[in-house]
This record gives sequence, C-alpha cells and structure tokens, in this order.
Amino acid sequence: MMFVLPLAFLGPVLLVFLVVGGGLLLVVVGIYNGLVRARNGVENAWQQIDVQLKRRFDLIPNLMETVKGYMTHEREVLEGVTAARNMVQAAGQGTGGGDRAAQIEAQGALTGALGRLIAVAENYPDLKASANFAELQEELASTENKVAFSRQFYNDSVMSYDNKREQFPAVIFAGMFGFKEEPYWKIEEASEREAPKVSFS
Amino acid sequence: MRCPACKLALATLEVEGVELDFCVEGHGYWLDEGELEVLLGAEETVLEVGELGGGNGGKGPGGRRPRCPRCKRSMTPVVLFEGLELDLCPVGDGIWFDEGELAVLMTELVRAGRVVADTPLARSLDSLTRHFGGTS
Amino acid sequence: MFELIHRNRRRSALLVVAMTLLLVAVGFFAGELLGSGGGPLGIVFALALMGGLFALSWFAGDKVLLAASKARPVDGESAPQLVNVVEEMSIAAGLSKPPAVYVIESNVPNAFATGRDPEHATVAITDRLLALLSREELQAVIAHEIGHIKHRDILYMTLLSVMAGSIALLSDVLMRWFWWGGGRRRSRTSSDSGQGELVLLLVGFLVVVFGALVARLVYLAASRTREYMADAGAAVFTRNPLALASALEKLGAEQAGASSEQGKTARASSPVPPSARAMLIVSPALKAGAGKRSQSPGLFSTHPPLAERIEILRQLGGQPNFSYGDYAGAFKRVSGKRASFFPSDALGEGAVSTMSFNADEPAATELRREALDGLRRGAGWRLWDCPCGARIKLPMELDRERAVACPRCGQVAE
Repeated sequence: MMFVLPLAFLGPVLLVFLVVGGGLLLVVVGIYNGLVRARNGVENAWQQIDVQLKRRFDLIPNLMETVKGYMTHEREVLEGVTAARNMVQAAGQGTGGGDRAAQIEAQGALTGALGRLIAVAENYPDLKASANFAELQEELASTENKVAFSRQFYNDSVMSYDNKREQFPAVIFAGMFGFKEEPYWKIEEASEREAPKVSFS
Repeated sequence: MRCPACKLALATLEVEGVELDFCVEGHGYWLDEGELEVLLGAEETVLEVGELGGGNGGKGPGGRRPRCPRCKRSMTPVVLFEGLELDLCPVGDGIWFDEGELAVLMTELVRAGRVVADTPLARSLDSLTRHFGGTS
Repeated sequence: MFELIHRNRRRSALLVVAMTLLLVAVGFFAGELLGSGGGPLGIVFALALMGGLFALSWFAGDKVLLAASKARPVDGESAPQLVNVVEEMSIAAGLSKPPAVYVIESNVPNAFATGRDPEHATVAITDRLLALLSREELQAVIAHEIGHIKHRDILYMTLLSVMAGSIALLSDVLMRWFWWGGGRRRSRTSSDSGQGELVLLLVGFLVVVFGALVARLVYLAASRTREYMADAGAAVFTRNPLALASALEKLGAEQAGASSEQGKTARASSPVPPSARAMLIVSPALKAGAGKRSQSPGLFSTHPPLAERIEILRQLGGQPNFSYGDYAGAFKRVSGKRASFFPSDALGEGAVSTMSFNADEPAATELRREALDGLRRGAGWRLWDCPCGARIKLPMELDRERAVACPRCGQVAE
C-alpha cells in the first residue's frame, strides 16, 4: 500500500515524460541519421571524382604516345601536359592522399593543358585522320566529361548536405555532432559576360 | 509567350524562311536571341544579347519595365543609338521591338550599309515594317 | 535532388496503396458477383494474380522485354561513344554503377530503360535514334532514361501496370462470364433475396466495370508525371536542357514523317511491346497532324504532348543554373498547371553549374520548322497562308473570333 500510492500518482507523469522524451530522441536520431547519410553521400561523390581523375591521369601516357609522332612543332604544348601531370602527381594523385586545395589547383592546370593539346591537334590533318586519334579523342572527351560530371555530382551532394545541415531543427544538432560545412569544388567561371556589345557602323 | 504590353498570346509570322513573333494587336515584335542576325542575313553578331545582370529587380529607371515573354524577368532598356531604345532580356533570351522600332532599326542598318535593301528578305521586312506601325 | 526522390517515394507509395485497395475492392465484388460469399476468395485470387504477375516482371521483365525487342548488348569496344555517354550520365546522376547498354535494330527512333532497381538496370536505344542524334543530344536522351532509373520509375510503373492489368483482367473475365449467361443463375436467386443484396450487386457491378477504367487512367497519369520528372532529371544531369529539346524535336519530326507515310503501321513497328510503352523516351503512337484528336491531350496517353515538353525545356534553356524547382516553374508557365508532382520542399534546392556547354549547332532549320508546324497544328494552333507568301501561326490561346491582319501586307485573315 505504501508503495502503490506514490507509483499510481507518478505513473501518468512518468508516462508523459517517457513518451515525450522517447519521441524527441527518435526525432534527433532521425536527423542524425539523415545528416550522416548526406555526409557519406558527399564523401562518396568526392571519391568518384578521384576515380575519374585517376582514369584521366592514366590515359595521358597513351595520349602522348599517339600524338608525339605528329606534333613535332608543339613541344611547348606537350611539355605543358607532362608538367601538369607531374604537378598532379606531386599533389598526391594516385597515392590517395594529398590536400584537397593543392589537388584542385593541379587538376585545373591539367585540364587547361589537355584542352590546349586537343585544340592544336585540330591543326594536324594527318593526326586527325588516324583512326587511333579519333578513338583517343572520344576517350579524352568522355574522360573530361566524366571528371566534370563527377564534380557536378559532388557539388550537388554538398548542396544537399548543406541544405540539410542548415535547416531547422537540424541546425541545432549539426554543430553539436560535428557536421562541418563542406567546400564546393569551384572552377574558374568563363569570364563574366559584359554589357551588350553593339557592333555596327 | 505573351505580349509584354497587352498580355495577349504572341502569334508567329514566317516570311522568307524566317520566323518571328508578333503581337496581333500591333504592339510589336519579339526576336529570340540570334533571330535578328538570321533576319538580316548577317554573318556576325549585330546586337549581342548577353547577360546584363541586375535585371531581376523589376524596378529599372522609369518604374516597372516590361517583362521578357520567355523568362518573365523584367527587361533592360538599351539605347542602341539616338532615337532607338530597345528592351533586352536580362539573361539573353531576346529583344522586344515596340511598334515601329524594327522599322527604325532597319532604316538605320540600310543607311549604315549593313543591309542590302534589295534582297527578297529586306524587301519583305521593309513592307513588314511599313504596315506594322511603321509610321509612328 | 535527393530530397525530391525521397519525398516522391512517399507519394508513390500512397498511390500504390490506393491502387491496391481498388484491386481488393474489385476482387471482392467480382467474388461476390460470381457467388454469394465469394468475396474473400475473390480478394485472395486478385492479390495472387497481381503477385504472380509482379513476380514475373520482377525476375524476368527486363529479359523478356529485351528479347522481345531483339536488343543486343554492346560494350566499350563495339559502341565506345554510346557506352561512354551512359557512363557519363550515370556519374552525373550518382548511380552506383552504370546500367547495361543494349542496341535495337529498328528504323523507329526510340530509347527505353528497364530493370527492377538501379543496380539491375538496362538502357536500350534503337540504331535509328543513335544515327539521328549528335553527341550532346544522345547525352540528353540517355540522361532522360537514367532519370527513370534514378527515380526508380521502372519498378513503380511496373507495379502500377501489373495492378491495372490485374484489375482489367478480372473485370474482363467477369464481363465475359456475364455475357455468356453466367449471371442468369444469379438473377434467379436474387429475386427472393433482400433489397440490400441488389444494391450490393449494383455497386459491385459498377466497381468492377469502372475499376478497370480508373486503374488505367491512374496508371497513365502516373506515367505522364514520370516523363516530366525524367525530363527534369535529364536537364539537371546534363545542365543542358536545350540538347534534350532538340533531340525531342528530331524524334518528333522523324515520327511525324513515319506516321503520315505508313499510317497506323508505325504503331505496329514500334520497337517494344505495348506494355512497356511508359519507359520509352517518346510515345510510339505519336500523331502529328491529328488536330481534333489531340486537342484534349492524352488522357489515354503514356507520354505528355511533345510540343509541351519541348517548350518547357526551351524555357529552361535561358538560365545558367537550374534545379528541379526551375523545371517545375517552367512547367507551370507552359502548361498553366501547378506541378503538384514536385514536392514543395524540394523546390528550394538550387543547383551549382560547373560547366558550360556550347549550344548545339543549328540543325536543319527547314526540317525543324516543318516539324514544329506539325506539332503546333497538333496543339491546336491555326496556320494561315497569306496570299502575299507570309505564313501566320496563331496559338490556341488566341481568341478565334479575333481578326488578325498579316503584318506584311495588311490583309485580314478569315
């Protein structure tokens, strides 16, 4: 009798506490899991860029071999590609490490060098006619696309993650659980378009 | 697409293999980006409709600007030369020519020697602008 | 974009539940009509029928479809560009692995996706379409199919299709049974039973008859929605909506030509069986010149009107950055309807543009214009050839009574 009375009184209160507390816990767990999922998505997307960059890196010796015989007068361009590739290697490509900022910069340089190479290759009819090169050109174009699309997907993932992180009520827990902001992979935009150019008279 | 002035649906006119949109009430013509060049048979860009920026606010000089029939952003006024101010879409969808403005531009282009007045297209454009509020 | 797919799954689940209830109702009443108290048995039979059909398409659907369309698998050796493009779009969509790639020998341009989930997916394209498209357009078409895969449309549409099919089958069998006199025994007993049973009988009859129609309409509406979503996906994955617009234009021109030449045989030569239509890039039974018929565009069509899809994509084309939300906005502007299938909280998600494409080189403008005029006629435009040689094209929204003068010669159209 002595024990039953306080319990009977406490029962409803305890029940309310348990239900509310449990509900809150479930919500927090849901938010936490959502954030983890989004962050893993970002991590995956980053690795996908890595895979594509590695592919490109491996393709270059093959490309140089095909092009070398034809483009004897373009030593500067060819050396540019080799130098950029070395830069990428120095920044940690293939070893899986390296810091992201240095990698982004080196990869940008490689993209530029390859673009120049393809542009000058257009001037060599013999080279363009060779079946080998046509194949290689498709391969290279696709490789560049894959790099670009993996970067796009990475940015999409980052945005989705950031949106999730910054929304209420997730924003309260994001800091608490250490969900940090992730950087976008920015590339230099083609120079801003200017005011309309009127070119007559 | 709707006329920026009266909101009626724009009709399409095809002359000499070129299409342009016009308001059936005679408020003017809408030319998509690049259509002016096709219309004039010009090889290079005559009027570059680029990103103008700042066109989203909807409050340009002179109160509310007419809106681009394509993207609904308010258009940016651009003075081509004295006596001709055109409305350009801020993100480069195209140009709106108010009643008579196409005629003014045509006259100026012929004078500047940019357009030969004697091609079938130029002739039909000429008649087009005469009938279509060319007097104003 | 992930949020969108997530929310969408919930909506879709709701529709599937509704369809299941309809199936259960049809099963129950079919059972009751065949014999008093046969309702529960009818439900069991209906669910078993659906389950069986679904299991069949779950395990063998893609194989059956690919075999029926005589598709052959290709790899990086035999079709390097196609395989590359599929890989590129899988990356852009974030699929864990690219789908298998098949080519179909057919003179009808089309493409489809199949496979129960993103890990077991396949895209197939006819060689005619492959020959027709530039690389960028091919990318857009493949991105549309990858959109179907990413949004899990194939599983969903298969499920709905199997349900609608089961309902139709039940209703069909029942109707035949009644037709051949099965109802006579029934009517004799009903004369001495209560009024309540008569009402039940009537309601049951209506449910069975109209259930099939409703199920089919729901299925078709869902299919059209999924097409818009896949278009939006293609625009977001490629960041190049104009490429898809131009690919659809080419498809429209080609199919308009084919159907005016051979009439209904175009339908017969469709590369895939009718049941799989929803996964195609364009509806195989596209009719360009059929003015009145397509005025009320396709309550009975798996695909939305092509002209509308193209117009939405063109509207998107002017923007450097866009998301599913921008597509929903363009959809609203073009169709005048609210894009209710895009959940509102996915609309806030923007997108970061990481690359710029060159605009597609101007295709043969002549052909494109003819195709467009055909599409316009189909969409209810009035085309008037002025004696002075100009052609005036009046959109459907324009009042028919309004007098329109030719801007060139001033003559008034009648």
